[in-house]
Parts: sequence; structure tokens; C-alpha cells
Amino acid sequence: MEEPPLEQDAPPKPVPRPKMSLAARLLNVFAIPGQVFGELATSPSAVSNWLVPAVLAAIVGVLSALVIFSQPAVQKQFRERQDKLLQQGSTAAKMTAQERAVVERMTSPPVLKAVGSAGAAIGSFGNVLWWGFILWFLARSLLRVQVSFAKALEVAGLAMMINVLGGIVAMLLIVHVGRVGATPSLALLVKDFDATRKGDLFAAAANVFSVWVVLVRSIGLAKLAGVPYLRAAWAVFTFWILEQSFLILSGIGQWAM
Amino acid sequence: MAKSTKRRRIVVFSIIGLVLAGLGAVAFFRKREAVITVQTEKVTRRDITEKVVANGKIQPVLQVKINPEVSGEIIDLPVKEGQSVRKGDLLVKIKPDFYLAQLHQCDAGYESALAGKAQAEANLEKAEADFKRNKDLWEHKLLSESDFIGFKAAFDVSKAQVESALHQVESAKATVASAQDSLDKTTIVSPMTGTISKLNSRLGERVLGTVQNVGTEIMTISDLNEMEARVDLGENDIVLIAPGQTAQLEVDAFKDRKFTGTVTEVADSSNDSSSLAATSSTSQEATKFQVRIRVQEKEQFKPGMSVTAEISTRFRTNALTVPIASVTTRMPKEKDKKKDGKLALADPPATNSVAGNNDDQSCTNCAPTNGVAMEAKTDKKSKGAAKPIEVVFVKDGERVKMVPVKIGISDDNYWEITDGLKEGLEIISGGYRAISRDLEDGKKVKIGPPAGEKGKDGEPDKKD
Repeated sequence: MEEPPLEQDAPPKPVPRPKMSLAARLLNVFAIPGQVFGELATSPSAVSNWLVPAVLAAIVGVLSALVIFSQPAVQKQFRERQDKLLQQGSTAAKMTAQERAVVERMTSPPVLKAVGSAGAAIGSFGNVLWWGFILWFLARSLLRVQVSFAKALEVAGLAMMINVLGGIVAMLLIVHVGRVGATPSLALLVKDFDATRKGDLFAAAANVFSVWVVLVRSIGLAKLAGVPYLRAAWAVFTFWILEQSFLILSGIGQWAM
Repeated sequence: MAKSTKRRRIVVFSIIGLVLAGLGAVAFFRKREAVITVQTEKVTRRDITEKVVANGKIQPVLQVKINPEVSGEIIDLPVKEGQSVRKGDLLVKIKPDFYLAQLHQCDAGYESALAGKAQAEANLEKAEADFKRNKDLWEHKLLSESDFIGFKAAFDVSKAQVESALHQVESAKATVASAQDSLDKTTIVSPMTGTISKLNSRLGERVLGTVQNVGTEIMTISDLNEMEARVDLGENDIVLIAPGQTAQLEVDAFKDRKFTGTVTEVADSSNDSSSLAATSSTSQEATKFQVRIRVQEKEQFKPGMSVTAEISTRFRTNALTVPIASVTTRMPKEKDKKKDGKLALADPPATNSVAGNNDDQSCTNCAPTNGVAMEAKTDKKSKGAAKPIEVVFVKDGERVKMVPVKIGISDDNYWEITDGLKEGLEIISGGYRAISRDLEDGKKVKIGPPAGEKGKDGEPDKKD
């Protein structure tokens, strides 16, 4: 009697990869951004993906402002810059002593801390929204792919974690070196960094973390749009270079520094 | 695949962790301090002259105001403003009619007094003759005693009348002289050679004049060959001024020239010491004293021209000096208070500087005017709140040392240092904010251009 044929085990079903938690996404974006954004593209939208990084960036920004503007060396640099601006040009000649006193009060350390903190907090959220919009726009206009704005916002938000780390590193460098331009960029090589010099600002723009975050955004855009990485990277990097050049050449960049 | 992903995460997070830990440790343990950009100069020896500046007016040394001693209408005024006159020249003629009439009246009175005197003398003669005749009769008992006494009395009365008449003549004579004097005073001549610097009255005007009071000021005559600058100084500066000191004068009307002068007079009381304001404790006006400076040069000065005088008060030869900007004030440290006058970089006082005016006492007006302008004396007796002291910052390598100093006199650019520094030391001379606020003992500094300036190539000077 023939034995009935053995039933072969069905091939094992692929085990669905467990969804990353928010914390895992926030951390994995440093090491494995491709996987993070790949999962992001297929998962439902979550506000926490961009809101939490924005809040973290704001907190780090506020703390950095408080620490940096507490440094005597940094306060001195701001005073010297203020003196230089007050003495230069016709504005100085038309200022009365009272007006100069008001300007000096407005650039005192407490005011700098307050303004710096507020600027960092607002800038963090603004950055996320701005880059969310840019990624969405690049996808639609250059890559010709329909991408939801919410997803683009999430990509920008998660990429913001690189800026969070960059902010911490910049704060520690400035405290260590004692100079406002001491960021992890080519500005570290400039001995007498001057935010009014455009060359120095271009050196500051060549920041390790700025390049890193642009890379991560490119990965995110590529995963969202389903296009090759190089194509997405070309679009994002081109826009970033144009944006930085405009900010520096127009003079807006020195006030951000 | 999962393994490589895990490995990659470990590597990335390890690198991030190491970088953060390293930077954090360095930032925590290494103290950063601000490096202050400053400018320096050396302590040098030079001659220094202290000057006091004051403003005032040019006035003639000799100036006479012409006031009449009699009242009346001006009938002749042969001079005009700016005219030169010599001593004795006619200046003013006042209408003499009234005084002429008065003189005639007095003359008549005098003549009447003379006539009265003659009458009295005639009466005396008669009375004397009667007295002598009747005396003889009385002696021969031919006349009664009462009659004799009568004649005697008449004689005496006549003598007294003559005496009275004589006095009346003298009085009338004096009256005539007074009337003549008044008449003479209707003609005013110049008491000196000079120039009519001011003419207040005009022909036909009535002027008032009395012997006791000043009367109408008709004109002023000035000797414009000798002019002086009358300047006002504050009470802090007047103590430095003495007759004989030289001065440089700048007259606004002669901007391209400087004149020399010598102090001739220093007021002992203030300008408003005689006024009610001076006695009022609530007077807000500054107390000023007048100083007169004789101008050496002859020039077409006019009374009232504005002048600025730089009076050289004291001088030092070969004194140790530092720029004025380098001296500021700071609160003394606890250890400096206890040393009671000993200084951080003390040096024996300079022995080869010559003091002018033999004035080696502590100066009364030596407080630095830059930085925190406060009292500049070390009070050995005070045991309460410490007072700021004058200090200079000396460059010692990359840092500065705060050195208390004693200052002497100053000119426009330098302070004399009498104690605390020695020649050749490099001291901080700028910037203003650094010296007045930022610098403290031991602070790190670097030499650089003043704020707002750049080096030769348009870049800030990076010299350390």
C-alpha cells in the first residue's frame, strides 16, 4: 500500500516587519534613513512624525541660545559687532546718544538670549513647514509625482533630527572655541569669523549637518516619490544651494548668524 | 540584511555618542574667557604743561567814563565815536546860561558883602572915636559911668559888626568860586589821550550830573594801545592761576593768529559776590572769577571782542607720562586697601623731573575725565565704603595687570604719573570701552585696531 504523499509545508509566509515606533524612527533616521522613509511611505500619516522633531529642535535651539549668549566671549563679539555697525555709515552720525543707548540695551545679553530663544523656537517649526512645502513642490513640479503634503511634512520633520544633533554639536563647539562662527563647517577654519563677510558665511553654509540633512531629505523624497535617489538628490541639493546663496548674498544670512 | 542594518546603527550611534561625549567634556572642563582687543603705548618721559582754558572779552586796560558834574543841555559835541582825542581836547559843552546867571548873582552878593564890610568899618571908626573921646571925659569925671559904658558897648558892637562883615565877604567869595566852578564844569575836556570807544549822548540831549552821584554816562574813552583779555574761570581752576603766568590767546576776529599774554590780575572775589544771588544758597549759577591777561601784541582790537585764553599754569620737565585715555578708575581690591598705599608695580618716584612753579603738592584738579568720573583720592583714614582709585592697565604677556597710580598734572593728551609706573612699560591706551568697563586684573587681551578700523589690507589686524 502506497503511503499517501506527504503534504509539503507551505513556504513560510514572509514575517511582516514590525512597524517602527516613533522613538525608533527618530533614532533610526540617523543610521538607516532609507528604511525609515520606506516604511513612512506606506504607513498612514502621523502628526507626531514632524511635530515631535520640531519640538525637540525648538527645545535644543532655546537651550543653545541661552548657553551661547551666556558666554563672555560671545557677548564681547556681539558688542564689538554692534560698535562697528554703530560707527559705520551715516546711521551712526544721525544717532543721538539716547538712540545709541537704546540700541545698546537692545543688544544686551538678556535681550540676545530672549531673541535668540524665540528665533530658535519659531525657526524650528518654520524650517519643518518650509522644507515640507519644498519637498512637496519639488515632487510635483520637478519629479512629476503626486505626493501628499502631509507625507512631505513627515519626511522634513524626521530629517529635522539631524538638525537637532547639529544644534547640540554647534553649541558645544561654540562654547569650546568661544566664537560665534564655530560650527561644524568650513567656518571653523576661519580664524576671525565675521558674519558681515559673505565669504565667511559661505564657509559657514558648508556645514556637515546641513549637508547630512539635505542627503536625508533627498532619501525621503526619493522613497516618497518612488524615483531613483540621484534624481531626488539633484533636485533637493540644487534647491538648497540656491537657497543658501540667496540668503547669503542678500544679507539675510548674517542676521541668522 | 537585518544584521548589516543593526551593525550600521551601532556604528552611527557610536560615532555620534563619542563626538557628543568628547565635545561635552571639553566644553565642560575648559573655561573660555573673552579676549579683549586693545591698543597699547609705552610709558614715556616728556615735558608736560598744564593749561586752563577760559573765555572772555578783550577790553582796554585803561578806560574812562565821562560823566558830567552839572546838569543841562548839550550844546556842543565836537567828537564822534571812534575818534582819537588828546588830553585836554574839548569833549562836551553844556549850556552855561543857568550857571552864568548864578555866578552873576554870587558876584552881586559878594559886592554887597564888601559894601557891608565898608559900612561896618566906617561905623567902627566912628564908634572908636566916640569911645576914646568919652573915655577921656570919664577919666576926668566929666562923664557918668553909664554913658561911658554905652559908648564902650557901641564900640564893641561896631567891632563885631566888622568881623561879621568880613565873614560875609568870605562866604560871598566862596559862593562866587563855587558858581565859577559849576560854570567851568559845563565844559568837559578829555582827561587822557585815547579813543572815543563809546558815545552814548547826542547833541541837544539833557544830561544829569551831580557831585555826589555818577550821573549820565556821556561817553567812554579808552586807550586802545594797551589791551587785556578779561576771562572768567571757575572756582576749581582759579586756584591754579597766579600773576605772571603766560597765556595763549585766540581772538575770534583773528582766527589765523595766536597772541601771547601775561596774567596781571586775579580776582579775589567772584563776579557775583556783591549781588543778592551770591548770598542765596539756592543760586544755580556757576561761580566765576575774573582774570586779566595783558596782551603783548599790538593789533586792531576793539573792546568787547571775544577771546579764548589758554593759561599755562604748571609744567613738568621730563615727567613720566601716559595717554589720558589709559587712566581710569576702579574699586580697590581688598589686598590693596590693606597695603595702604603700596602699589603693585611700585617704583621710586622719578627724581629727574623738574617741577614748574615749585608746586609739588597734590593737585587739586587731577580727576581723570574718562571712564567712571568719580572722586580720585585714596583715603587712608576711611574705614567705611572704599572709594575708586586711579589705575592703569599694564600689559603683561597675554594678560593685563591693574596697577594703581598717582597722577599729577595733565595737558590735552597726557597725564603725569608720579607713582606706580616706570619708563618703558607697555600700558593699555585704548579702546575706550575696554579701559572704562571691560578690563580687570588678569584679563586676557590681544592687540588690535580700534573698533571700526581695519588693518592695512582691509582686514582686522591679527597681530597678537
